[in-house]
Amino acid sequence: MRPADKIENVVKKMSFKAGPELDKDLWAETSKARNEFHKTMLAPGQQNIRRTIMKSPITKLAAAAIVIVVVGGITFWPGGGSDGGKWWLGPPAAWGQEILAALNTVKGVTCREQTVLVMADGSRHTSGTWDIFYVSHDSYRRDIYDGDVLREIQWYIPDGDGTLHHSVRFDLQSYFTHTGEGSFGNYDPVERMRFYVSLLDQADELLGEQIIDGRNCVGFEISAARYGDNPADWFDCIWFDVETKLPVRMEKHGRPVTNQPDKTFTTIQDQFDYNPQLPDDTFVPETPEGFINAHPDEIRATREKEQNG
Amino acid sequence: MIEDELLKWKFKAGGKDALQRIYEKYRDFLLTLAMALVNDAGLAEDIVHDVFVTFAQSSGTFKLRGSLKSYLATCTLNRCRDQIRARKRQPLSLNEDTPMQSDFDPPDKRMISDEQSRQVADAMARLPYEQREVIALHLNAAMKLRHIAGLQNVATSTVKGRYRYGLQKLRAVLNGRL
Repeated sequence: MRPADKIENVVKKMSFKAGPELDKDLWAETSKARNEFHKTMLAPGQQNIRRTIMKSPITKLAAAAIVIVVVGGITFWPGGGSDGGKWWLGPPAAWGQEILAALNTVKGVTCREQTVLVMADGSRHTSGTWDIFYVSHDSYRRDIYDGDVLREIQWYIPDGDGTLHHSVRFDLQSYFTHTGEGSFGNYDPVERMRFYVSLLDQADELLGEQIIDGRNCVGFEISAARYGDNPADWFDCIWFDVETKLPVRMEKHGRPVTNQPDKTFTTIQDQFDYNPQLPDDTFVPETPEGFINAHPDEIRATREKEQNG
Repeated sequence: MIEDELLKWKFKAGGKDALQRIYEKYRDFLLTLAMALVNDAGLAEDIVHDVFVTFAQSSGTFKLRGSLKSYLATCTLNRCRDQIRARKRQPLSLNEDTPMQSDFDPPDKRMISDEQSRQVADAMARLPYEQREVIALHLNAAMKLRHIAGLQNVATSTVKGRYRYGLQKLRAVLNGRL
């Protein structure tokens, strides 16, 4: 008998390659399909073909023990016990420790961030610009999309005592690099999760259960005044997967919009993937060939000058 | 990963070079995956052909946040499932014999492989399809078991069981042949 790992290696080594004839035929058909499609796309009234985006489910993480000291009275944790599996009805000390311990095992996380503009009449408009974050223990990367087009990648990686910031703008075909002090800590979503979990005993409202991304979740609302000198109408929400107890969504509401006092904005982080198997070069800055080294503001200023003659 | 992000961006912008690079980069990977799933060279060719043609036609409306490799692998998987379902629907003719496999490789063969790969593909074809799919996606496409669980719409524990039983059978089939 072969050990299982040897069988696994044998399967991994399995390889079928296109011979020259097949390669030629396959590429010819692929190329032809592409050319025909581009021709028909020029004609009006074509229907769009939508692709399904694959989404990764959240990883279950191991739990250990860290104790949260519960202070203050909480109206929605009566009796301190769970109710029919509703762990969140027990005191945070009973389950918050598990969440914190699980978060301590996270070596990397990816998530999406979106901004929603809230108008005076309460209507909401989600910005077409959104981000994907990749965060490791010491590095951070942000991919910024306009709609479904990747506009920019920003890397923040350790550089001596500071942080190297490398940004590539695909729309401007440019890049920009500089080293600054400090770290990327403010952007770390896991740090933010820890922060919220430590505040859950002061939560203002239990938002109840809701299905988010197909998962049954439970949410908590926390006033931003709980953690700083913030206006009373700023509040944050965090939603946990009932099964894994890990955060699936974090929201910051009521933030002001510069020079538009009748509007506020909300930021939403969701689609968390814990400990994803990211390629080794995720946090390695790379500049596409031919891109120019210039700050986006310089490029815009130069173009404006050119346009103005 | 950055190369794939750039390729996605260029492909979306309509770059033919990007399509060619994606084709060259993933052609053999998809052929191997299709062979692992259907063990039929002609069918695997058709499947990979369909995947690339459909992919080429999506330029301009293409929208993908995840891994390009994983996306193409999932497209291949879906085509394989379609083909296997279609085969099941075809009634067998009376007295139909299973064609014998020849040990002789024709000189004009369109797909290149070594003897061991062909033996492994033959052995995998003897597994129940669900087990074969788990093994191929995990070992050949490097997908996580929990991701495969999502694709098969079953619990991760079920996928782990399929993987374990599949490997046991594979080991029994291949024992002494490699």
